Amino acid sequence: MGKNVIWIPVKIKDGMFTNEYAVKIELIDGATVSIFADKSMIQERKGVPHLRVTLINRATCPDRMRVLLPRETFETSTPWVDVPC
Amino acid sequence: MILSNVEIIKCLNEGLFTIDPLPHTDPTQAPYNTSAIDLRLGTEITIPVNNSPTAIDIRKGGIASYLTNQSRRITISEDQPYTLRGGSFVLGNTRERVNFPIERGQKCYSARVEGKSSLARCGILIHFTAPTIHAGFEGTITLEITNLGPLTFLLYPDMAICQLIIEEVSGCPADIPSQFQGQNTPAGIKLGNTCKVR
Repeated sequence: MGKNVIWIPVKIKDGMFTNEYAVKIELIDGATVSIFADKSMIQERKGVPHLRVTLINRATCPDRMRVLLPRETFETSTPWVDVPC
Repeated sequence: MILSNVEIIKCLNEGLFTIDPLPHTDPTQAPYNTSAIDLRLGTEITIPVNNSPTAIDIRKGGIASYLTNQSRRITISEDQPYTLRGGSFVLGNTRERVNFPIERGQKCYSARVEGKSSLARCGILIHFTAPTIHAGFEGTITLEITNLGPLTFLLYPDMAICQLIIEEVSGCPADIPSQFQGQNTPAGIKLGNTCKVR
């Protein structure tokens, strides 16, 4: 996805299939959402798992940024989320 | 517009999307149909179980972990297929990984996973209500497999389980509106790259 790809910190556990993780993402408002993500979408950085997402809008940085997740979350039924910068 | 078999191969060769592994690029042989490509069942079947007295409440966080805890995973093989009894529901995934990248300035594609008529005759659904593979998706495709028929059905790895219908998406679905590009404040004052990703 070229220049728009960024990595955001997440928490992970094993998924329903061996090639995926159950991923928990903390949103800007403190709520958490979760998705299943392919293991190729997760990278460990300084000991913290990060999820690959597409940056949509960082106009409101340094507070928040809007990103596109690999799929819609269970909790909000949308792939667009606002996360901390 | 739905891509033909020939157009699918052309796009694969141009790297506009990927389906991996791909056995060959002869459009007149399986897994190609005239306007779709068949995908195969992988080796894992996940069986939902009821370990909890609580109902699924999607308003609470951590649903993905909850669903994982409420399931059991098995591996199938040629010698040990999964016996899908009438009325039962399991999850499977495709052997193939697909990738429909969103690249600014390039055409992008999405797809729909659909059942096969031969399996439908046996009462087998391989998805319900969620066929869309959105632009930007990468990975194997999860299949919601249900047997609506009265007869027991065997699920083998590598069987042609579903078909993928691919379409071009008009416009870039995740592009940043031009008026926001390079802007770091709500007022649009360019402050440089102050946004750090942890």
